[in-house]
Formats: sequence, C-alpha cells, structure tokens
Amino acid sequence: MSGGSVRSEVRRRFPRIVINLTVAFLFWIISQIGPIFVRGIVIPGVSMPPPLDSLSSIVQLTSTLIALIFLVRAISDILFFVDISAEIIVRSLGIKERRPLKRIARDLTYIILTLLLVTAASPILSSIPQIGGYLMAAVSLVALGVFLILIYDIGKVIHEVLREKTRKIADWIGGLLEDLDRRNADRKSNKKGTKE
Amino acid sequence: MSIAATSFIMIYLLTLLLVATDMVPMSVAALVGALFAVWIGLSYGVFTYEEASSFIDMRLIGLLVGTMIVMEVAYRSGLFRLIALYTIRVAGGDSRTLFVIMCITSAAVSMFLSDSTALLLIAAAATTISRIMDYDPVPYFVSASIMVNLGGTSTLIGSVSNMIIGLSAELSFSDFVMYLTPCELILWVITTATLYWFYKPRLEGKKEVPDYDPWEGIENKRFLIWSALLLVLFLGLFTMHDRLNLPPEAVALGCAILALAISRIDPAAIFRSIDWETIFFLGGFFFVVGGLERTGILNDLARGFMNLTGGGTIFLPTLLLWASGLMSTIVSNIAVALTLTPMIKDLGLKNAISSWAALVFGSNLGGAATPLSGVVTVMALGALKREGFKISLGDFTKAGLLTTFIQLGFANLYILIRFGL
Repeated sequence: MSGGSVRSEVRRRFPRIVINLTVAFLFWIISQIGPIFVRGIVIPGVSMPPPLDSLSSIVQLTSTLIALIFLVRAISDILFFVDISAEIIVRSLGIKERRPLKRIARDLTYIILTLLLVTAASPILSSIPQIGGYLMAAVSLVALGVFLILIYDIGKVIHEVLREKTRKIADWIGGLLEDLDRRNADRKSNKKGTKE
Repeated sequence: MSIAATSFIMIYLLTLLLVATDMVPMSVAALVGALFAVWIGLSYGVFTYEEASSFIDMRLIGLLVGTMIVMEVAYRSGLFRLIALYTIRVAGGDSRTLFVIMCITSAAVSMFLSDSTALLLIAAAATTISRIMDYDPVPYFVSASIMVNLGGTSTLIGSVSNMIIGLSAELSFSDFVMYLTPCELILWVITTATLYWFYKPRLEGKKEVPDYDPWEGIENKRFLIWSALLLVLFLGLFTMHDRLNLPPEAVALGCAILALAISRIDPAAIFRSIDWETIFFLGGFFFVVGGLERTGILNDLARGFMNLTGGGTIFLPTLLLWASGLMSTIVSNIAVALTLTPMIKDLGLKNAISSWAALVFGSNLGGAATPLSGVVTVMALGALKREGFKISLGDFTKAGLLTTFIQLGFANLYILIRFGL
C-alpha cells in the first residue's frame, strides 16, 4: 500500500475508531451504572422469565449489546492498522517471502527462535537481584507480542491462499454455468430454427 | 513434558526449519541449534559441560575427513576424469548407450566417492559429453544426480549417513556389501531403466564421436598410477578392516596421511577442498540430537515405534524405511540418520540388522526426490544453470519422485525377503 493511500485510510478510519470506541465505552458505562437506577422495577406486560422481566436486566443486556456492536465496528477498522503494523514488523524481521509455504515456515522459525531465546534467557534474567522479575516479565511480554504478530501473519497467509483457491473454484463454477447457459440458448435457437 | 524436553524438540525443529527455509547455510543452522542445545541443556541441568563435549563422535569425523582427503587426492590425479572419458569412447557416440553407461558409472563412482565429489566429476563428464556431442544435457544431469544418490547407498564410505549408521551399528565395510549390495545392484538396473523410459524422447540418436585422447591433460602419470594403487589399498583395507581389527576411521586417516605424502600437492589446498560445511553441520547436529537423547524423547519415540510395530522384522523395518525415506525428501539425510540411529539403538533389538538396513535405504534413497532434497540435486541444478540450461523444479520432481518411490518400494520388498520372511 502506498504512503498516500495509507494517509487517506488513516484520515477515514481513525475518527471512526475513536467515535465507535467512545460510544462503546459510554454504553458499557451505562450497562454498569444504569441498572442501579432502575433496580426493582418490573416492566408490566413483558412476559419474560426472570431475571429478564426486570428493567435493570433489560437495560444491562441492551446496553451491553449496543456496546459490543460499536466495539466490533471499531475492531474492523483497527484490524486495518493491525495488518499494516504486522506487515511492517514482519518485514523488519526479514520475512519478505511471498510463497505461502515458505512464508509460514519462516514465521514458524521466528516463533520458535523467540520462544527459545526467552527460555534460554529466563534463568539468567530471573537470577538478577531486584529487577530480575520485572526484566523477565518485560521480555515475556515482548516475546508474546512477537508471537501473536507472527501467528497473525500465518493466519493472513492461510486466509490469502484460501481466498485465492475459492476465487478459482468460483470462477470455475461460473464458467461451467455460463457454458451450460450458452448450450441451453444454442439448443433453444436450434429448435426455433428447425420449427421455422 | 518438561520445559527442557519441549525446548529440545523446538531446537530440533528450529534447526530443520533454518535449513529448509534457506535462511542460513546448513552448517550455521546446526551450529545455532548446538548453541541453544548447550545453553538450555546446561541452564536446565539436562547435562553437564563434560557430557556435552562427549556428544561429538570424533570417530565419525575422522572417517569423514580421511575419506575426503583420499578421494580428493585421487580426484586431483585425474584418475576419475580418465575413467569418464574412456566411458564416452566405449559408448561410441550413441546417446542412448551413453545415457545407460553414464547412469551406471555415476552410481559406481558414488560407491566410493562422497556424493558431492561424485557429482562434480560426473557433471564435468556430462558437460564435456554434451559439448562434444551437442546433446541435450538435462537428462544426463538429472539422471546423474539420482544415480549418484543411489550409488552411495551400498558402501560404508558411500555417504555420510552410511558412515553415521555404520559406526553406530558397528557394521563393517563387508557387512554393507553383504547385506545391501545385492539390492543396490538390482536398484541400479531398475532406476536406469526407469530413467531411460522417462527420458527416451529427449535422447538423440547416434552421432560421430570426435577424436580425442583421454590421457590428454594428465600432467603426472606417475601420480595417477600411485593414486590408483592407493585407492586399491584403501578399498582393500576397508573390505578387511574387521578381520585386521582396524577401525574404519583408522584405515581412512592412515590412507589420508599416505595420500598426502605421495601426492606432493600443497596440503593446504587439499584441506581447503574438504567439505567443512558437512563437518560443521555434523558437529552442530550432534549436540541437538545429544540433547534430545538426554531428555528421553528419543527413548519414548523408540518405545512408540515398538508398540506400533511389535518390534518384528516386517512392520518395524517397513515403517523405518518409509519414515526415513519420506523424511529425507524434505530434511538432510545426515539429520535423518543422526536422529534415528540412537532411536534404533534404544529399541534394544536382538537382531537389528533389518532395521539398520531399512534406515540405510530410507535415509539415502529419499535424498534425490526433489531438487531441494539433498546436496547432489542442488548441485546438479546449479551445474545445469551454469551451462545455460534451465530445468523447472516440477520437471525434476517428476523424475525424482518416480524413481524414489520405485526404489523405496523395491528396497521394502528386498528387506522383507532378505530379513523378514
């Protein structure tokens, strides 16, 4: 993706993320606080099994649902930035391979390398007095981050392969159907010709 | 499973992945594995530093270095080139006869030379032939690499994996000849016939052979004769080493010293031509496998094999043959031999010869299935590229997979008849 298009995507998606997250947060607050104000009120005419017959439950449920909807909308935009940052991190690790199998193998290599480095370093780090524990936690967090990004990259590669394959299958089925349509049309025009 | 055991499995996978993805050279991959193995092994108390130092099998390194020196001296004398040039003359310009002779010569030469040296020699001959006779070199190069890979199967010094298995199983040079050569000779015929059938449309008819003198270019005939005599002595001692009570590495190193003494070539030049890449790979991988062994994983795997197959002479060798064969199509056959050798030892079989034979066949025969299965195939493609010819990976794989499956299938049948029934 070019620098310009990234800028325009940022301009388009960033406000949406902020708004969606803010609204989601607001509704989450409502879902936590709202039920307190309407506790004990039963809605007349609503024949739901308890506890769904109380207003507090309905407020909590609906506001949580709305918060979730906005959170999902925010996540779909956030994923765009996750994609870009994952790509940048993966590239900076030296993984530029385009062939899917080799790329997955390289991702796996880096995952194992990261895990081994942490395993090997942990006895040394944890033996440092006072800061050992914090250092270990920091290293583990970094390793977890790299691990997640690489796993995500593997997922993306598999997704891409599957998308390509399904597109090919869809093209093939589409071609078959077009052939079938053409044959039917030919048959009809032939019949018409013989009648005339 | 303990942290150490999981870590050693990861170290093993890391080494294989580093090799498979070409991220670093083979030797560096094994050395990175060794670094982690020693680091984690010492940190988690899997072994002591003294125990780690004993992981390297110096006998194997001695056998390997000694054989490489003897063969390098023989190679520099021009002996093998002379044989190749006489071969062309015998074929009399018929590309099909030449193809068959070349296949058999490739396998025969590889019985004694390391695979990479044998391929260098055959590639040089194939280049000469295709230039002199204006033939399509692809069938010759691909077939040569497959036959070189096959040829190394039947002798103790034919391939590095055989040296690993031979020393570990205490199989002598004559044991290899007695148990494996009958199958090997039939495999030569079957594989040559398959390759001939596969490449028949690409082989041209008979052409006039230009006049040339095979002795041309031999600078020192005395050196060549000495080298030939040394080679005879080397092979003679190898055939009788168990009767003479001489370990194979002593024969190899003794003959290497003799070769250096008679050749009068700058020893530094000979030492430079030793395949250090393989030696360092072996050195590094010893630590990886040594660590795996200490964690008890290989023992568990061996027990799993025993439970699965019952440990008999039919199912166990069959499983070993196909497992090692298929592993070798992806991973270096040295790595396969180093991993499975301690495992077979752990099985504690009374009569393990069928399992050893299965491992020898499997680890060797899988090495030419795809262009990336082994050093010989990579070298053959490189040589073709230098000659300006390109062959697609798919084209090579078709010939490679076809011959590999035929070879593994026949080897399986042989093992069942020879040891199982």
